[in-house]
Amino acid sequence: MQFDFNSTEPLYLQVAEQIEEAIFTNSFEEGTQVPSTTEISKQFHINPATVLKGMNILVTHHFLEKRRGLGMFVAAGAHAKIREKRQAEFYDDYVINLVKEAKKLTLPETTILEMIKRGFKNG
Amino acid sequence: MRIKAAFSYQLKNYFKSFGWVYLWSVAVVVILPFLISLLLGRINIYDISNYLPQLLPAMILSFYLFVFGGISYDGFKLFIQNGIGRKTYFFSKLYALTIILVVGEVINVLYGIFYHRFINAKKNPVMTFSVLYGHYFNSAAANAVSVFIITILFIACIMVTGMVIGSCLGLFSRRMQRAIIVGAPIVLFVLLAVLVMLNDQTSLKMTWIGDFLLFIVGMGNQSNTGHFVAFAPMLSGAIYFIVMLLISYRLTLHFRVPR
Amino acid sequence: MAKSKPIIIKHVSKSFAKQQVLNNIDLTIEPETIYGLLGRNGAGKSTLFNIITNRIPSSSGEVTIGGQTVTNNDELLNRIYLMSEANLYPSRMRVKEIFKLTAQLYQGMDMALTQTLTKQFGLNVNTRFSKLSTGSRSIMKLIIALAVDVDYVFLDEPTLGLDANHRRLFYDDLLDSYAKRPRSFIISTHLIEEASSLIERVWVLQGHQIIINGSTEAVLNKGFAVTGPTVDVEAYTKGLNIIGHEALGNLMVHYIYGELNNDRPIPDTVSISHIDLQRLFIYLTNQEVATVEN
Repeated sequence: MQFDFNSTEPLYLQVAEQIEEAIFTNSFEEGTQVPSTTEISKQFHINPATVLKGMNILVTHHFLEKRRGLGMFVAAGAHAKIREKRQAEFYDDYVINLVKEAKKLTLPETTILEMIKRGFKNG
Repeated sequence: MRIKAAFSYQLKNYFKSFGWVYLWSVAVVVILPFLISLLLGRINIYDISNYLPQLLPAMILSFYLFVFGGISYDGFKLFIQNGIGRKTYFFSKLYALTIILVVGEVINVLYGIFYHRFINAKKNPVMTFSVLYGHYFNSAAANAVSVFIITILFIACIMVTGMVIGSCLGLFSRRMQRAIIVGAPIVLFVLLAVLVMLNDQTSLKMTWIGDFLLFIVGMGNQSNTGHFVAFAPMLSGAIYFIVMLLISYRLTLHFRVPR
Repeated sequence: MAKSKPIIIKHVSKSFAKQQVLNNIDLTIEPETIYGLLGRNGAGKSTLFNIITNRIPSSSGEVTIGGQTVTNNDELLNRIYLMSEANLYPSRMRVKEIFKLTAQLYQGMDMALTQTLTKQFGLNVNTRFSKLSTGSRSIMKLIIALAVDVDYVFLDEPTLGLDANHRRLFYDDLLDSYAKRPRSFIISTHLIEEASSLIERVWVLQGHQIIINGSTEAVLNKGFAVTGPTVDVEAYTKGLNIIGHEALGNLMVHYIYGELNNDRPIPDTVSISHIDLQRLFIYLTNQEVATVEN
């Protein structure tokens, strides 16, 4: 996990993203406990309230679940849910910017489509 | 109020330092001359009563209470750092020093009896103020108690004088303090000189100041030594003590850090 | 344990020999919150701390907890610890004796924690206070600050003289201690970077007044850098609260604190990003009088 304190993104969103990423890459497996607020807070010198706020975002998305008296656990099916969410956000996160940049560079649509095809072939 | 914790802390420290001051005084006044005469080979003419003044413990006690009553700011600094305010600091210090005063004076009396019996029976009574007030009452017990009270009040006045000076100095920066310590005696000396000059013209004894001083010590027109009015020093001592205590208290409330 | 009551600072002003340091400060310090007090050197951070902890009197205004003034109030002062540059411990006293006396005069002190921390920081408890280096003095005071049983811990430039390892260690211990026993920490510092992720609420003291008082997140949300060609940037930021700018040829950056104008379209040539606390602080306190609405 890594946090960029100079980043322009609010810290609690960074916390949420980092944990989400860890779940998505199976660093935190489904059904296992994730590090506690205190642990993350201590490790990265982030205010516990900020960490909690980030974690609560993941709880509302049902990626994490609270177990009373025990802590936070990766919810069953979290991995699939994260993929779904990221698929849904793909257009907003990547395509819009791609097109914006292409227009700035006066690259026509056909060229971009060719590039994407090439990317799939090589990747 | 955190007075209990503050008081027990102060008392412990005062007893410790009081013990040290005692030890050092005895070492300097008694043991040192003894060692010197031992070195010079004149031990045969060493007489403890030459070196052991009867007033030694009373002097140590007065000196101690004056100095430690005067050390105000350092204690305040430590207490405010430890979440204890000026009022509690002042009263815990006053109570602790009062205990030292009473304990010290009891030691003085015991020492006086000891001195009277074993070291020098001819000289001096057990308590110094007996010379002035020792025969005011008809009963010996009443006289002993009254002289004891007068002695305690007298030392308490010395203590509270130290407290006023200390709390006054505590308001100033270190540099200012040094200037005052050097300057104040000079000013006092000049004032005294002026007073003496004035006294040349009109005798002090004739003025109300003289009468007032006589009244304070309780020396009436017809009383002889030993029969001075014992209530007079008690009253004047108590008034002085209370007034100075109030002044010291008010000054302590103005302590601040940094100054 | 019952939650403690907040510290209320009401209309506090302070002048030294006609020179004004604080002007009408109003603040509330909530329990169990980590605050950051930011201000330039000489802005009056220490003075404010000294007033809150009753080391010096205010010229006007008052500091209260639960309706009671803190002035000479042991019950309240005993719930507060101020760690500052001032050395108020007897210089001849040894570190362990200072720990002991603190335990005696405060209502409680975690002696086991002092042992753990002295070992961790490599502090020799037999050294006399006067013989400690600046860094070791800071360490000793920080250990006391974390071990003493209070509701409000004021830390005035806590990491003075500490090396990078010890600074890190200290913040570890602070968060650990905060997790085990939540209480308020009020940290004044000019090393904003190392503390910014820690503090929940931020105050900026500038021009004798608190010009910013809000959650760190909300404050950061209002700070923007608008970058682009000078003409476009100026057109976009017109009328906004510009707290600073940087120009590089025709490239212009305007730093904004406050709301952006959402009715105004953002030109393609202009990019907008948030800025970090350090930079926000520098621009806010660079101005003679910052125009800030809280």
